[in-house]
Amino acid sequence: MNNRNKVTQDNQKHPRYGMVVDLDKCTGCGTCSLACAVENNQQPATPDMTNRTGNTWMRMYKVHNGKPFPDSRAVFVPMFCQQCDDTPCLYVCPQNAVELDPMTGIVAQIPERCFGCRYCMAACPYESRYFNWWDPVWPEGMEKTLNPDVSPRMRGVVEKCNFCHGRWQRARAKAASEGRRELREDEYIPACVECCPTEALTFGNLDDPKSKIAKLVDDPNIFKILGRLGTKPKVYYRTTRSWVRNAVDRNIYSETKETVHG
Amino acid sequence: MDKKLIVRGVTRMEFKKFITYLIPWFILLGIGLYAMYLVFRYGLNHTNMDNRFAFGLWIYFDLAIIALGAGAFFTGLLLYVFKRHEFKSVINSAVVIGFICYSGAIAALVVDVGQPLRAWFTLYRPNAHSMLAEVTFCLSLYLTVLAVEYVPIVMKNRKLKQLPSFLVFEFKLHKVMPLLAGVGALLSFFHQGSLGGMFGVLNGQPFAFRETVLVFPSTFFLFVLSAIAAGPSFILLTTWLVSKISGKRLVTKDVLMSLGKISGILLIIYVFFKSIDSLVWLNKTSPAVGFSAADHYGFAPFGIWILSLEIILLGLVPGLILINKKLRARTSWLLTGAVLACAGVALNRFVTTIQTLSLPTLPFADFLTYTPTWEETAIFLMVIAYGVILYSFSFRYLPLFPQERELHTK
Amino acid sequence: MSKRFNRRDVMKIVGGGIAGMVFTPIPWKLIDDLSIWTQNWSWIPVPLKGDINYKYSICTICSAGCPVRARNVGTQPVSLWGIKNHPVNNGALCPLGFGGHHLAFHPARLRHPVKIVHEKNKISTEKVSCADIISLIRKNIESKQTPQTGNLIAMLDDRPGRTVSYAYRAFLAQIPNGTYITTGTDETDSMQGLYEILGTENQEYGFNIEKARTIVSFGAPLLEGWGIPGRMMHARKNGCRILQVETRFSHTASVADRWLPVKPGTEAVFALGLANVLINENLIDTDKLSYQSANFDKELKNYKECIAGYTPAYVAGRTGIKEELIREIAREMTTETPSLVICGREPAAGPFSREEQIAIWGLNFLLGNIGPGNLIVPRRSVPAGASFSETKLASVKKISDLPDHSIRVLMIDEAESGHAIPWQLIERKLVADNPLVISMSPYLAGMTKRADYVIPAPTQYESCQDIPPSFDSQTATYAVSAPFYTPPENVIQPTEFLNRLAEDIGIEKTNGSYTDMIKERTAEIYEKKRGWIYIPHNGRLIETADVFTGQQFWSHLNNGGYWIDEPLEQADNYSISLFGISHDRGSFEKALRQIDKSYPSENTTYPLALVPFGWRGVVDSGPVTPLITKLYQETEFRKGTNRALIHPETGGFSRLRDGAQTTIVTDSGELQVRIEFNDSVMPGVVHVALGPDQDSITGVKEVRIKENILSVCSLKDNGTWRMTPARIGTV
Repeated sequence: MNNRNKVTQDNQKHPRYGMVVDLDKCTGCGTCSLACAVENNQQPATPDMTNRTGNTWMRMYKVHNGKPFPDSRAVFVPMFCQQCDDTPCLYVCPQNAVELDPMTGIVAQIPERCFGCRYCMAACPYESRYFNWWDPVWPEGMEKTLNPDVSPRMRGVVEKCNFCHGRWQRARAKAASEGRRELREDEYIPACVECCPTEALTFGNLDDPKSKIAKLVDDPNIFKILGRLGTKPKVYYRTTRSWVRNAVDRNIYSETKETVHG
Repeated sequence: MDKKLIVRGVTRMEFKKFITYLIPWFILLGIGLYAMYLVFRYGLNHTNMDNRFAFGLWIYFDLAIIALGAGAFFTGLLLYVFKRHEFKSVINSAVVIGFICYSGAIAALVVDVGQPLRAWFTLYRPNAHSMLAEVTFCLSLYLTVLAVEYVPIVMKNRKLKQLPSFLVFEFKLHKVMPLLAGVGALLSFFHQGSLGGMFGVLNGQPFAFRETVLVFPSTFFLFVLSAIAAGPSFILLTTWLVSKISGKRLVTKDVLMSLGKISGILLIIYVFFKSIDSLVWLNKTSPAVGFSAADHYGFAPFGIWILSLEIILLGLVPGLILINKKLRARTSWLLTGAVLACAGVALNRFVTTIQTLSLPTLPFADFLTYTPTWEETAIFLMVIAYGVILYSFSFRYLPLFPQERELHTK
Repeated sequence: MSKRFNRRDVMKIVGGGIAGMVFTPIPWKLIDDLSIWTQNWSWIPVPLKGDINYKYSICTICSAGCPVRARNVGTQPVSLWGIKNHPVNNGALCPLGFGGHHLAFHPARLRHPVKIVHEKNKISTEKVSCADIISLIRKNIESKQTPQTGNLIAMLDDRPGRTVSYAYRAFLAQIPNGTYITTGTDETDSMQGLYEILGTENQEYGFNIEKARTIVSFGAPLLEGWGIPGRMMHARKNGCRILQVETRFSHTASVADRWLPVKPGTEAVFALGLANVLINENLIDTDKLSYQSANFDKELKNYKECIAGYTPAYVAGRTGIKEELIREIAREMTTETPSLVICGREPAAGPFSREEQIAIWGLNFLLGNIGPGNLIVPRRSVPAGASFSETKLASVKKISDLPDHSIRVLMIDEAESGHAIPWQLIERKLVADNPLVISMSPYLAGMTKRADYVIPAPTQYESCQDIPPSFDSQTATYAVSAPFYTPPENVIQPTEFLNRLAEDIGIEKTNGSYTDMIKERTAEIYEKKRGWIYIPHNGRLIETADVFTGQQFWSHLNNGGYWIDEPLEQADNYSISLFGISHDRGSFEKALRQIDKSYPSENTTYPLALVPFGWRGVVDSGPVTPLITKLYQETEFRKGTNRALIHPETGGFSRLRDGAQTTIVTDSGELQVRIEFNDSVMPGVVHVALGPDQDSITGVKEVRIKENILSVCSLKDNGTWRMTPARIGTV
């Protein structure tokens, strides 16, 4: 299978896209969730859908510091596919429906190959994979508002964030038409990054030392959620507050688990 | 007609009574088929599985019955390869049970996946790294082996035996039986192992993730061990149960004891390795990624008791019962040991599937619980009903227990 | 070879063929095709194909008026985006705005005038003609009503200042008993206390949020949708500190720099406590303030005496905030400067009373925030346009100021303020016998479900609409929301409906179409040649004076341009009154005592304080994009309707379980809710969520009038319902 995942030797350096989420800037407005749903043609909920069977590639969590009134504080954590370099979901998929694109470093989910065994969902520690428990149905007429760059998925397959693959293709086509092989930094950004009103999300090529994100990643307040699992996510989080770091990550080995609510 | 089909030299209940006894099972089968229609037509939203509980009752059930069905390949291995001829008296029954367990598991899997029509993609373009691809290959091939093993039993039917060409065919099949048993054992070894490996490789789930031993995660070997330990116990139990229900003596007691002994020895070995594995996991593997025992056993109802229960009460205890010759000789102890052994492997599969998924891995996720819907339960019961019906017919018309005739005439 | 080809051979061939087939690609190809074709049911959508182009317009979902850039396939918008670096909102768009283009296809959409038949707790619709509705209104206008039974012909408009608002007022001025009303539940109402202090009726003020270093917010959902959301977000990004005075652990409170959870109903007391510290610790710049207003010294002396009782010790006891913290906050307001105090309100919990507003806004005066160049700046009003400058207009009234049972005919303009409106607020003003309620709404949802008739109006991006400045804007602004869609056939523009009605009852019609009226308004703005116009296509600000013709100015606006006025250098003279112009010290003190007494209630039957909560734009009656389920149902990131949050200790007291279904009982009735334990809730308080009801998300086949928490809140005569004594019953 691995021929598919190897780049032909073209001596070209390919970007490795990643994202930084600044938890100190996020205000929990939820715009990214909606923009993501619109961009990627996620269907609206059926009446009996719950918070465990929905389809929210970009999911907002409200994470508490665990202290009761009046000392409660909370932080909003946008959670989406962490685009792991050591990809737990890729290794487990029996029919190659998950691929790590060597051109971009993006973990792609190919719905046409997926037969819905959901093994990848069990493998993902970030709960960022979503199964289509229902047929994708839009209210009558509203299917006209679907993004033409992204096919709606069928029932019974798994899907997840792919850093707005449709946008990457669009940007590439545009660059190609101008005779360029490489994309400019601002040319391709996912929908959530574009819409974030507090600029809490930064997207870019981690391997390009000149990029904004590469500088951000050097910040000492940067961390990866569940980084110790060794899945090597390409999504980083940032906070200067220690309680946030403790509530969001498991960087401190504690005997007593602080209870937190989603 | 019915009379003519029944195995020569044994008696079976009246046909009418037989059918009456099967009616409840046919009803269960019918309800299950309707539930299956609902799932195929409207999708898996008819289950209570969700994005976190990606696996539910069905996968647990699959893992459990495949473990218990291991008796089929293991008895075959003992009989044909290790020439333990005392198991000739249960091999036919074991093959039928194996066939039921595996075909039932595959039926449940077909409902469980979102797009069953695409399941063959795995065979066509597999991901060699995936434990599930390995499971799919071994499972489908081993089911074929079991079907081939089933055929000679069917051909031993009084009526079918009268066809000369069938007789020849059966004879020929018999010659390849040791080969099939060997192949079956190999396949089984790999799929039991890869079912365990499926969870042991999940480096994203510290509760399931295990150290690697010879390429495979430790659960690979533990699953094989626990399956072959519980398999004979399950054969023992079913044989005893069938004998109780039919009111016939089917095998001599020493066969059952011998099954129990093998179970016991293997259980002790299993418990030994399982304990080492648990200790390594709790003290090395899991803490290395930031998860303490409290993170795994700090959520009610899954306290540390569940691990103790699995290893001591449902592992060590039945093991000790079954290796003790005196205890083994008494039917009640023999059965207790076998029941505990089977319960132990069932609990192990439960912990592996359900507890893994209910525990939060994300620091801010919740502990979740899951209850199956009626559709899930109905399909689960349907598979059981299918097993009961298929076994009942096999028992009625096929010589599942060759010893029965002599025991009957005695 | 003599052997004949018999039946067995045929079977062998067929059987062999079938067996052999498995080893050919044929069955696999068939299964593959089947698996592909089973994805192509008629209900599986296919996106449109066509040319991609971009258009600019303005979102009209709420009064903020955020500029949008629509990505279109042909003429069909497929997504909306903010415009980066836009001077009005910095390119932010709220989640609801992202789904603006879905609303035209909303399942609750009405495409024909209908009569609503009210059955018990359920409604159904019958098609009627527009003429039927008109003649009914005419009959009601013409019938001679005795004053006792009520005779007002009212138009409810919750977004005043639009051109259509002027058209309504012009129409109502012409008919006897014509009354133009607002609900007084929108954000503009929160400004009234400020205007009372300043004693100005016609001078508008806005906020220079960008300049503030600290904002002390009294219940304003600053980071969730307040004013123009993008401005606050931008300020936050640039490090603006937020001190949130709010009982509930709201999203804003949870990420604010400080959360000051005052007991419900004690916000004003807390504000007076801060004022007390500011004055007594001499933290205010008296020289600067006396320069700003002539009567300052006298006022301050009076005010100081009035609030002398609100010592930090006393206020700490009332509000539950520690004495030392109160002092600390007051000092912080004068060190982390400039600091702005905002009197907001929870979108579902309703506005503060006028007196509370005065108490809160008063802090701004003490901090010296008012006046050009400061944080609260005067701005010009946007002219109404030539068609209305000469016409007589009905005055603007607040619905709670009308006597009960006085409205005979109520017409509702369904443009939403985004804030909750309890139906009792309106219902108690309607005559008891057969009031006629007509809603001009695109949807059968929310308040429209209470109406008798509905005139289907065009929805977002279906007609030309104008955007007056948001209440928080520091200068006058004006923009035009250009349509993307043509409205369905039977949809009637409210002004068109008014014209038909005017024709029927024989009064003067408006000039031309609605678009023409808006055009006239822009012409008047253009004539002043002030300010700039922002062109979204190239991101440039052009001086209005540099635009050659009025036609060109209109064309800029009609293509997503945004007109921004110059700051007002000199405001009208004001004479400050810290008690508000409608109060003297005596009546203000009395009102304060009244407020102070409201919590904790000594009522033992209803020991809990019920405070509803919700999200701007969702708690009102309008439909929302079905994708809003991503934040509600699919994640529970925001709490859905009738979810009751309660501290576990409060719950333990009543022996409740988490997740239990129970009832909330108040004097006004009872409501089924689901309990959710949350230890961030103040003990003794129950917060009940007002989310989008199912009709507003996806529409339902059977339209029901669902009771929500507002129906059990006790509505006071001044139109507020911030807190209700309640208890939790068991089912």
